[in-house]
Amino acid sequence: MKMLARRSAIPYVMLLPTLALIAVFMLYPMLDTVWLSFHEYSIMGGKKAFIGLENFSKLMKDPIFIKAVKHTIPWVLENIIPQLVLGTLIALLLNQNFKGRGLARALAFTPWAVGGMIVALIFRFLFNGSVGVFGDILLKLGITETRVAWFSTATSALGTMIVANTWRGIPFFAISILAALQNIPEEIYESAQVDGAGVVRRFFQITLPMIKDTIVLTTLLRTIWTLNIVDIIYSMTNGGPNNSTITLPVYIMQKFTATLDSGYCSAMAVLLVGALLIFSIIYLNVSKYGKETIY
Amino acid sequence: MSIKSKKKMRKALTCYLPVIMWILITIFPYYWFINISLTDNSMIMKLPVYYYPHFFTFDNYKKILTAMDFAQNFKNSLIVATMTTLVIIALSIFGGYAMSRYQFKAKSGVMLLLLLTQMFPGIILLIPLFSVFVKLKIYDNLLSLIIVNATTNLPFCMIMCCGFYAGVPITLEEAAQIDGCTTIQALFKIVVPAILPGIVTCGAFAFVNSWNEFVYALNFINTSSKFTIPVALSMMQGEFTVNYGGIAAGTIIALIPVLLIFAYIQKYLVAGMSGAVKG
Repeated sequence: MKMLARRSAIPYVMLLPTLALIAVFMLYPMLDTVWLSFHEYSIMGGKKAFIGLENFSKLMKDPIFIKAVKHTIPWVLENIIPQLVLGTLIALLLNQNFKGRGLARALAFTPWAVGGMIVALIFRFLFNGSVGVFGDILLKLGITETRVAWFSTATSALGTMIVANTWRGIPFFAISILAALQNIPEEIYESAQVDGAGVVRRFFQITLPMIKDTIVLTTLLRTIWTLNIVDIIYSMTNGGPNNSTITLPVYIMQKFTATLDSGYCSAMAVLLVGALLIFSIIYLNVSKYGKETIY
Repeated sequence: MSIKSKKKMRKALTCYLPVIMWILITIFPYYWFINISLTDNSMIMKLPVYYYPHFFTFDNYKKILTAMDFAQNFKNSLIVATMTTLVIIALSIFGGYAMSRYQFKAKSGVMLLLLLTQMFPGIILLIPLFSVFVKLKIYDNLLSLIIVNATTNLPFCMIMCCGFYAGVPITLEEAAQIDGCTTIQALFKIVVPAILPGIVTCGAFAFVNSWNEFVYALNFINTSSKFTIPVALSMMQGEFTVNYGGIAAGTIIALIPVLLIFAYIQKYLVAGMSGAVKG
């Protein structure tokens, strides 16, 4: 694309406020986090004391931290896979021509606009052990004999959060994939159909390769956002029962609000970011993101 | 069966049936909270479970709207989300323009920075920003939320805006400049009107995210009259006798602005996302 290639200060002036905001309220705090992780420091007061890697070695002996780390990968997979699969299906469904398509899309995408806290409130009530409607339906259908106390066992508590999160997360995948589907020229399908390729073959040989980059990018973004979720876990199970559904960000927040121990919590934050960066790099390399198409 | 009606059958089975089923699944949680919010509060926790407002009343709405704090909480959320949106729109218009129209040395570095900020979990900002806001004396002040929401949403909105600018031919501005417009005049008279739907989408995205933001609002605000809606609702849940009717009514009220905005921008959303994902 043609550019206004004059040498001028204009672009810098235009970007200055943005870069200043990011530098002061994102970059500085991030560097501060790294710095704090090598110190013993509480916001409540006291001096900052350099203690090297002591925070990190303390972490290795913290049973809740270990639990949270172990939960991280299953938590991400159990959330991402249903969202990706259902999101793709919904996108294919809503990409067809039918009457009322605009309304159907508008309704199907609404959960995206609902905040995590509100999703948690709603689903906590839907799964309520005494008057929750999901328990009531299962009882009426004769699938269970008594009302399920969803939040009392680790598996079912985790299940409630995955249902809530999936309901909210599908639209993001559906919208992104739908956008990609609309960029596939109709003629490709027509000629494939002439060649006798069936629905399944068309999906795997045309659709999937054409939307691969979108899937890679949305999955990466969603993985990071899923790891980042605090509100839903905080207000549905708060990591319980017995820390069985705790994740690293939730533990960081719990620990920070309970102790205001900046040093220790920063050490956890540093490990989280490090793991995310390594994951992102590996993921983008393994998936060969953007190799076929040039953006 | 004729071919035509066979075709119709097939369409109903592969298209309408799954679409309608999915829509019902999607809207069921809303329906259930509307049902609860219109049920007499003393009957909500009692069996049997009614699938419609059997003990119908508007009391939950009346009570929560007259309770002083909730109206204030709504106003707080409105202030935070509106201010955040204005800041983001202003900065994205200029920033996106610079990124998509100019060739300058730091360009790829800035783009990398914007993308990298998307990789960082928000929770890690919590600890250091806590100290920053205490030092700036804006802890327990809505300004802290406006700042943090604007900063965390800005990169994505700006990347999205770059995509919209890319769709406007540069010859339009050149023509305007030949006619004697300055760069800024050309930007606001020609380019901004052309990408207005995109800017609206960006703004809506920022508004919805700030309206819903919970973790920072919970930690940076201490006084209940300054709580935003998600925090206020969360606090109601923690009370000794939980007022489910009030929570449901408050939730429905909190959903109205975002769902209205969402319904309005829905048609731009797919185009907006393809712009953002392409960059």
